[in-house]
Amino acid sequence: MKNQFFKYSLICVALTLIASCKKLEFEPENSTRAEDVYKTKEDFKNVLNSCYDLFGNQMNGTVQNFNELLGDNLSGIQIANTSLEYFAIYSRGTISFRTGDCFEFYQGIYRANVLLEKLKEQNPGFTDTEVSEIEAECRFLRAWMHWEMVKLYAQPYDYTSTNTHPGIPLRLKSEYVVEIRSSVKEVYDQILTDLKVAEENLPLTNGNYANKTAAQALLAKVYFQMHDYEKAWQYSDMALANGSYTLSDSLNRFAPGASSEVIFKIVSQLSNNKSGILVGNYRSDQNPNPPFKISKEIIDKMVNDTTDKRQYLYKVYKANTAQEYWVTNKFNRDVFDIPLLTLTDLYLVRAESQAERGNINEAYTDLMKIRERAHGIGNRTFDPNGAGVNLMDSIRLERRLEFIAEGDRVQQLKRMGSQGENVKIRNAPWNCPGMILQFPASFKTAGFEFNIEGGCN
Amino acid sequence: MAIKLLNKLLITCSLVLFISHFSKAQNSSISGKILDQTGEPVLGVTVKVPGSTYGTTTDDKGYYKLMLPAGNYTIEYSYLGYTNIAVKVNLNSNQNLTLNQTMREDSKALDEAVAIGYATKQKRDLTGSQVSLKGKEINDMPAQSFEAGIQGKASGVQLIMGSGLAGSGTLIRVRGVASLSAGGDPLYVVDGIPITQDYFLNGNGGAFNNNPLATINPEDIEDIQILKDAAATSIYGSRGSNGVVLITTKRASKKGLSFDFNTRLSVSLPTIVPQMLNAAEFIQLYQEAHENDGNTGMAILPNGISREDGLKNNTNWVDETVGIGFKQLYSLGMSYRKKKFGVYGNYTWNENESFIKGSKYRRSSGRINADYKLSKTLTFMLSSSLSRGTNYRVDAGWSGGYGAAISTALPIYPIYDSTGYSQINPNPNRYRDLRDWRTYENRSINNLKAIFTPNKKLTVTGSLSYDYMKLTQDLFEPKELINSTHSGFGGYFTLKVHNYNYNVVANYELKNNIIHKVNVMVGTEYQKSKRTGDLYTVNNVTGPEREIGLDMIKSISDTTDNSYFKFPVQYDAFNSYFARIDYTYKKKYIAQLTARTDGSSKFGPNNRYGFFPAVSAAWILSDEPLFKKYKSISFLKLRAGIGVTGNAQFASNQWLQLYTVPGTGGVYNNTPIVNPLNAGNPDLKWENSKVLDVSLEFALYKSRISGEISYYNKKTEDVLTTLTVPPSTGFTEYYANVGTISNKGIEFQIKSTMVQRGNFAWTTDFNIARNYNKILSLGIYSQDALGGGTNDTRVVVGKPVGTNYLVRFDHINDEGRPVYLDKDGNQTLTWNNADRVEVGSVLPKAFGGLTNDFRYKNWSLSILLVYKIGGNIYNSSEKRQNGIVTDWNMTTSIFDRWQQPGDDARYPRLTKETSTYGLPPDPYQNNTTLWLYDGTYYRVRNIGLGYNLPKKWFKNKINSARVTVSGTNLFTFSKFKESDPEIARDFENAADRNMSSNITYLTAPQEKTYNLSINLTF
Repeated sequence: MKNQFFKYSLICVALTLIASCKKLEFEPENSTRAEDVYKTKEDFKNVLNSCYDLFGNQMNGTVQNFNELLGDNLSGIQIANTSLEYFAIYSRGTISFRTGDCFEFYQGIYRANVLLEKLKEQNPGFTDTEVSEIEAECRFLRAWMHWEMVKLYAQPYDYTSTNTHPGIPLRLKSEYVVEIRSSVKEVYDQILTDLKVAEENLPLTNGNYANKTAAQALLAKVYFQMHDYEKAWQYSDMALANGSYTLSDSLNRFAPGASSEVIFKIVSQLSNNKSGILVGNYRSDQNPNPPFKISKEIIDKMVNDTTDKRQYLYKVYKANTAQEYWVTNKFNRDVFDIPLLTLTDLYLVRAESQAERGNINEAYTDLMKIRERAHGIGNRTFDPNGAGVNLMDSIRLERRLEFIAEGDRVQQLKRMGSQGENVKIRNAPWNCPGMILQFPASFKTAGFEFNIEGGCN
Repeated sequence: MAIKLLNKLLITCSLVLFISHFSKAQNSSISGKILDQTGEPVLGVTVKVPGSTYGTTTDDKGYYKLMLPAGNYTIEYSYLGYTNIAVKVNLNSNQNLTLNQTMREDSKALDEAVAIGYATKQKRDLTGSQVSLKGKEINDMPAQSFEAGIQGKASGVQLIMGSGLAGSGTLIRVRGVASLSAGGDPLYVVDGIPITQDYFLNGNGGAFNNNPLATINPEDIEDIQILKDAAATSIYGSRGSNGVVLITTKRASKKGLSFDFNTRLSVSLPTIVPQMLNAAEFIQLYQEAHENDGNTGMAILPNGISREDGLKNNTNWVDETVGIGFKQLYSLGMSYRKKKFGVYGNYTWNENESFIKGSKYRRSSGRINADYKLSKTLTFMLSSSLSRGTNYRVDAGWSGGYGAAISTALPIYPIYDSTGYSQINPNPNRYRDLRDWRTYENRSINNLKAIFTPNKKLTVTGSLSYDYMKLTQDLFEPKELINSTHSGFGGYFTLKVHNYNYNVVANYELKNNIIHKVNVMVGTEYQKSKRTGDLYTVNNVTGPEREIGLDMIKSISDTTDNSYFKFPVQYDAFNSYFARIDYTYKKKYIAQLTARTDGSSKFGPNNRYGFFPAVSAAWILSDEPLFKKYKSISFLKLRAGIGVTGNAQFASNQWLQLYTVPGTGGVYNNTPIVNPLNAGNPDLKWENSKVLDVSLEFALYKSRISGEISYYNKKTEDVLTTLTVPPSTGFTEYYANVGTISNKGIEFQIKSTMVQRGNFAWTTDFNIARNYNKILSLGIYSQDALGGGTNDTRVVVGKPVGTNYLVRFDHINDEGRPVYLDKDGNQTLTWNNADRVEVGSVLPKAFGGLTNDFRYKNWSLSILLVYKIGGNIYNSSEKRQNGIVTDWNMTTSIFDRWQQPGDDARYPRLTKETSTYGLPPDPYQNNTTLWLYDGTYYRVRNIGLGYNLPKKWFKNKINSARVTVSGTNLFTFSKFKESDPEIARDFENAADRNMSSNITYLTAPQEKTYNLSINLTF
């Protein structure tokens, strides 16, 4: 009897178990449903923080390297023997990536768009100022991400007189719709719209995130690229007027303690290292044979000028042999922040803009701030109004020497080319098809126009 | 008639062979005639005195005569397909005893009950397609894990061994590939528990997929059932689409106490080693390419190595990475049964070293299976195993190690320089020696079953299971390896999968009389799997932490230097109700109806439940009077079944969009990151297959020949696929149901007893299968949306899953340049992406195996041949080795290259310029049919020669003792000479696993082993 009772209780227990525990839906752990995300201010800030993080994942050397490979600062011989992808870009042929590209930017844009939409839908206790500040940061990042891509994947501004040549897909909504490429004009117009809203609403200080000066600096750079030197001068002037930043003495903005001139940077820590791509490709103290070597042509401009202290950022191996190569010491550390908007850049934007506007003396003053830092006070001065002096060339050379390996050079060459100067980049016209990257096949949708390939040899 | 003639011939042969042995003069004899139940004489019956050398066979009239000295004997009569007879006799001196016997057909083989999912059934009554294998059959050779033993032994089950890396897995496809992005592997059920079987727990780290079956001890396996068609698998409903492998572990069988001890010692070598150029050859060919491109002077060698240094270094990287592996296995089993209680226990220690230097898998596993009959109506059964696997890892494939040795590690590079390990990359030795890298797998599979039988008709079984799996990686890289001035790097992750399952099944015998037999089963099952994971990257460690240190690391608070991620917890649950009705009419008409409804957490509320019915029937023709008159037909059964099965082997939580939460790890600027994890598709639904199976089972000539022929037709709809979307959407892909796939095929298996005479027997088992696979539709999507991508295989409508999509290489012109064919078949010197066509097949035309077993007295010889006919191999890495000359070493095949007009060569002229071959600047684009090979191979998978030591040697203290020497993969015949023709490379994901099984990319070859085994039972 006892046995029977035991058996039947067992069955009852089993049946109860079956009836009660058959759950098929679980509350997420270590994750949350999309609809539960945007509840508090903190939530918005954390998603916004992820946009900065993604932006950093692309400005960690990835974008800089693509630009450098298209330009003329690197020595090509060794690239062929390191990364084929890099070599393909360097050769300016069919550049369709098997692996890395820079479309994480679009993930960042998607997140910024969701944030902008959610800000309109719900307001978890934000003040109006806070709402406009978050909107300003989203727009700042969205504009910058679009800008970096349009520079790599489309021919530059003024490549056509109307700028109706294809740009990139412009994403202003989070909704899943397939977008074809907008024109370069549409892309630049949107970048300016976003940045102006950002400039208006960003706070003066914002820790390591975007502030008003950063928006002004970026506006100056965008207008500079668009050959609008009037606006470039205005915005660089505004940013430089801030006064919170000072030009540091260090010639290496990547070294510790050089951050006093940095308006915006990517924060890098060993735990979230954004400097890895630069370190991997350039670091020369632990590995004397890094993949990227610096072109002898640019090195000569420094080593032949004995007062230029920037030459100590470079080192030669196998000197005077067929295998001679130069490497940079700029990135010889495990981890460092990536400065993206700096006074050096702004002084040179303002200098060149002033020169374009005919204000020679103002341009010279700005130029000398940078030049004297490299050569010492009183060295390499000249009369900017003197006969046979090419002030513009001096400013451009200074810019080139300052930003080696930082991805600046090729876009300057394209800017010069698209304003009618006769520019060749490693013997190829600045506007040959291979000077821009190809979209991967995954972009293929009805009406999507791919870039023409090659044509640079 | 033919068989009789064959028999006569064989008898004559065996008589000639053994005559001397049997004709020792004896003064007494036993003789007689052996008849079967119908009164027919039986030819070839073995008549012997067990344990002695006395024996003979009957002649074609059924007569025998056995000469013996006087004494007491047990005489045993045996013949395949008949029940053995044993008779005790007392034979006096000079006595001529007459002993006639009637042998009865043995229906044991067909009466044997086999597992069919929640129950067992007699083989004879099966209406579904299923293959049974004994533990012994799959455990007769060393293998990375148990499933390797299935190869060549089950028709329609294609099995591709993983590489020779220790612990690597195999690729099993039952009746073709019916899935794209969802897993195409069969469901593995161990003692009733659908176990955790994710091949991508570890992703593809180090070019190696974790093998979830590696921790299962082959020594524990009693038998394996492979369920193939819907009639058999639909009881597993949503998870039966790709077949089901049921594994039953050993239990105490005999009364009393017994032990068995097995040991195996082996050496492992590669089946083939690629022949790479040495330094002098490399330099010469590099220079030739340089000059062919119109350059003069000396070419600058990769990494700026001078010629003198290069020649001096002359490193043979293959020798540096490949050697001899040693393996050892020790297994002790115990079985005890007394009245109500039975227990089986086993402990096995196995060390499996690969021929790849530094690669080793060590497994230690214990099992206890116990049962206790509490009362007449209630029995408890416990199955419990605990395993620990340690995988000593090295890089492979694209990740380095052996992969680098046959690619970018050039013979001109040194291993060491004045500072120690040379930093010219790659240096496989530097990574292997400096890095400390292990993965640990702890696994425990447990099941408690209560069987309640209140009366003869009703059985209620309740089963509770828990399958635990923990995978831990411990990777340490010292600072000199990572060129850090900070400190060493540690990469640790822990993944835990808790898999709970319970089911209650009631089985009721509704009717059981001579005419009708009706059995009804109903059941319900619930399974929940919870997966958690942590990843720690630590930048301030100075040595490996092993597992002990991991807890310490978890408490690290320094998020400036270190980072951690807590992966989103994945819950997967299935809630199921199922039923099966079996009906047998007059023991010869059998019908079965099964139905299962499954609910899964993988789908949203709209599509959560799926219904999977199947109906099948069998007709035992040989029991019909019409067939009874054909004496040669021993058994004939026709069966057919139709049903629906499903597949939900894909990532969790894809029906909803999830975000990360603060505190799970992501930090930027010392502030938490919150971001979306996926796109989410609320409309996801079950991938389902409609399956038809028609089979004929036969046994002829007193079951000396038996076999099965089957036809199946499977149509899979709503195939689960990751759709590639334009990255501008903010995502790269999401899961959707797209398209239809068809699998049709024929399978044939035949077993025969070629010779059964006296002490000699020869049996064969042959199987062959042909599968026709075709993608019928991709819905509204183009093949671009489905990518394919990895490994240059594609999804193309009208073609099989995984089609090599390449530009056709036509010939080499008189300038030594390759000439291609464009899409329309016109010759062109320009390689164009748009000219790729579907040219190669991933899937073979046919595959199968042939086993030959010979027994003579105490000796046995077993030879297993496996083969694959047709299909292609795409030697993806060769496009870099023997394509454009870059920083890759070449194989010696490149000697057959074009050098001057008139040359009829295999490869075009050497060049460093991609334009010479009409290629874009990226030499990886060099995807042409030049690298496509015939995938046919024949392989002697295993040869084993065994000897049973006579018991008397051990004074009968030992029940049996057996010594076996064996060799695996000793001979392979294939047109593909570059590497091993049997390829299962490392895969990126399930889609890659489904589509790219014929691609080799720096894949390590299979291993060749020589083994010595000893098995003792006492």
